[in-house]
Amino acid sequence: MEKLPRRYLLLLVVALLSLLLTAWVPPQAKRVFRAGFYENPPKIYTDEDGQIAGFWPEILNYIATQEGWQIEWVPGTWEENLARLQAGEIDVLPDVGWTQARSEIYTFSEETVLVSWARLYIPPGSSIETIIDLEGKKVGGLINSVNFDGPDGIKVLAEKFGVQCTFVGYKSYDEVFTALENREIDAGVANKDFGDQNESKYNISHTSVILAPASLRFAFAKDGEQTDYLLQTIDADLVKMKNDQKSIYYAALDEYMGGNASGTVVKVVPRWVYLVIGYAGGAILLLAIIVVIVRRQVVLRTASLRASEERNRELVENIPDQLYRVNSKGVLLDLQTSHNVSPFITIPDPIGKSFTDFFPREIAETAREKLSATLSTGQMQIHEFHLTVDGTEHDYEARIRKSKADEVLAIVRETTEQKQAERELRESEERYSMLSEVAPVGIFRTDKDGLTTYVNPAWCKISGLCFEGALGNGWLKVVHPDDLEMVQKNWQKSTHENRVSYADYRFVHPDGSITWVMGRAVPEKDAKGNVVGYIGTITDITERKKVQELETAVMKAESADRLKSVFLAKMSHELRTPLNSIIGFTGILLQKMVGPLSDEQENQLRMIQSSASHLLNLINDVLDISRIEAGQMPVANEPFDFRNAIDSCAAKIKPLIEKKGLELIEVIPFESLEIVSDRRRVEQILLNLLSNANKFTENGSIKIECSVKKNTLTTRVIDSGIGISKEDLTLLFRPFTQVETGLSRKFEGTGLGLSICKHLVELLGGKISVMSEPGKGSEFSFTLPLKGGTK
Amino acid sequence: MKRKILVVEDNEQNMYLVTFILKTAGHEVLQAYNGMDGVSMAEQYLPDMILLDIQLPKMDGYVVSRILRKNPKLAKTPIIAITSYAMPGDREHALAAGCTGYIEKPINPETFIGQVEAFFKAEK
Repeated sequence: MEKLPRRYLLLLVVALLSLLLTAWVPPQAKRVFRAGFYENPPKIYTDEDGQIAGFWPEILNYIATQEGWQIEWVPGTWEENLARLQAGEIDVLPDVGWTQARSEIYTFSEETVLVSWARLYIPPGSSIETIIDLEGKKVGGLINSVNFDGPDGIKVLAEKFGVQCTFVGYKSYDEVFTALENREIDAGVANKDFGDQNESKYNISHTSVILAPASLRFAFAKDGEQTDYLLQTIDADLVKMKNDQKSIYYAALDEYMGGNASGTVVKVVPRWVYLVIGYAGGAILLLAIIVVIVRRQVVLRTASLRASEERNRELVENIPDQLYRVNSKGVLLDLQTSHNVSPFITIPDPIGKSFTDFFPREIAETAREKLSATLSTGQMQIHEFHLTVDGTEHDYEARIRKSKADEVLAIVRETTEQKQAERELRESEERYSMLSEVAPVGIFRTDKDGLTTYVNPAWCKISGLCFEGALGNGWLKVVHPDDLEMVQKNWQKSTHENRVSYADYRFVHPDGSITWVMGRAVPEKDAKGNVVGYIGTITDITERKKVQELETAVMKAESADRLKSVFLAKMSHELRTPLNSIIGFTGILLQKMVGPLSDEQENQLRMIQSSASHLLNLINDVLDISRIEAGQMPVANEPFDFRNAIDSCAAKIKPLIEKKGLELIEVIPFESLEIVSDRRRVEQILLNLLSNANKFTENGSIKIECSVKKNTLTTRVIDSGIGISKEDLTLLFRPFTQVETGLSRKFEGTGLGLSICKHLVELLGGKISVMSEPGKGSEFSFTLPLKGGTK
Repeated sequence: MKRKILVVEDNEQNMYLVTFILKTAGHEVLQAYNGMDGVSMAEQYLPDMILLDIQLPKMDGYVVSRILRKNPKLAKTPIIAITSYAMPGDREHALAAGCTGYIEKPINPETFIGQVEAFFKAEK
């Protein structure tokens, strides 16, 4: 950077000088040319004294001196210079590589001044050796230089090689090398003249990649006013110089390009030198490219070869097959296995040993038989054998092929897992088959069209059909005619839609008996999920069906009964409400609470009362008996005081008894007694017995007697009434029977009371009995369990 | 001994009958023709006994009994359910609802007063 002020100073001096000269010099004064200048040592650069030096300035200055020109150096970057030349701002630019594209923008000297090419430079220690190595790297170069952006430049070259890398443009080679030195880029392209001289300064190194050979010439502004003149003059001077070994051209080459640059010298004369150099350069380039390509190929091939070797090695090591070469005498000649160790020959150094040495006798004999069979027939033989190796069981399969007249090749493969799987499958099949044979359910299988292919013995037993008879659609013949259509439709639908099938249907046996079955079938699928058939079961549900039918019948009956109960309850309630009034008011009147009655009034009112009571009792008794017969009589099982219950009943009956002039005697040996039973029913029984006693007793007494023995409470109702004949005693507890006394209908009652009592006592877990003698009275007694009883 | 008895009964004839019998026996009778009136009259007059029909419009006897039993002043008052023999479970429900006892319908004028008075005796 510090060179810049100097350069400007120089320019100032030159400018002043030129001003002075123009002032002094007459019209034919010196021609002035503007020449582009940039730093590209050793070819063109600013020297330590601030003077523009280098190979190109030396030659141009010489020509200028010869021709009496004045050179005005215009500094700039390479890129700026190219742009200026194109714009005609400068007249000439040295060291421009000729390309087709540039020749259309600039005018080039005919004469090539230097032949040069570029090199790829790298920081020290970098592993980049070829263009291929640039993959993914950062590559720097001079903007608009032939070797960077040109047709043979690094960008194009990389693209041709299919290498993807990032390019960074710089304004001078100096910047490229600085960037390399600082490792801002992974590689940089520079012309070799610059590189050879400077790589050590920047502490970088070069690669063998050479590119963009270029013919370096003077370039002129395309339409510059002085271009034609300059072109002709410079070309002519160049020819002269090149032809003179002592010319400034060669001197400059020696001075700036040094020994290293000897190959770059381009002489016009003799022409062969140029040709040789050109060819050599081309050849070198070609070689370089070939080297790069070959290298790449080698790298790729090597990698693929390595991969291939690896694959082969793995293949060989993992291949389950082992190869054994055996001669006609059964002697092992050679073996090839993954590690050259036989998995089943356990003796050391088996080569040269015979079958009998490493096989158990039996296997050795078979092996020998197979060996001779192979040799005699030429047909491949298979020998399967089972061995115990190191305590574990192994299966092997040897394929024995004839390889020579007296030699065979045995390809042996371990089949343990396969054999194990086969064994397991066989066992599973056997188990399945056995299970099917003994299963109590009917099992069937069909093909994919639903045609029966198998039925088990249980199936035959349930259906009454033999195995053969069931096959195909044969089974349908014994399906109950009423179920046939449903079964067929259902089965067709299931097989059509490949779905699970359910159906309950009947089989008709040859003897006409019917078996209900529950049928189920599921599609059987192969590994790919295709339906290959159906497997199903039939279960004998005849018993269940019977139970179901019974249950249905019972349910129907029960619901009818419930309906009846509800009806009766409702009805009796509705009947009772008006009866309540009738009985009540009749009672009031008869008690003369309202006022006195005539005898006839009283007589008729008693008739009303009697009929009403009879009707009420009838309603209650009908309700009870219907409930009892339907098994619907609810019975409680709760503790209560029995004494209390008796007192309650006595209170109710006492007025009636006393009204008849009778005496109620209670013989109860307890003040209170807790029993577990149904108080209401117990009271109903007691009242029934007491009112019966009252009904049939005209004089004397009615006695209630209780006794407790163990867990049983016995209650007796004893009257001194008319009694019951022996014949009548047996009919006593039947419904609707009232003992005929000859005084028919004298005694009101429905004839249901005792029947109900008997049922109730039994419901409460007790027994009822009667003892009687006509004319002397009756004794009804019933027992109750103290701690409750079950029906 | 004269008692103040509240009768809750919706049937007019039965009400008349019960009232007649009770009055004839010398008791004072309060009448309520539905459950709601029964509750309010019981709370207002604090009777010595309540005869309670179960099948009542709007509020049945069980509910009436439960409400009355929550009133401390009526906690010990005998509440006698007049139950229908035809409806099984009436008695059990009645006792569970707090009734002291029950008298079965249809009432018998000859025994009715004895039954009622038996509850007063049991109370002592």
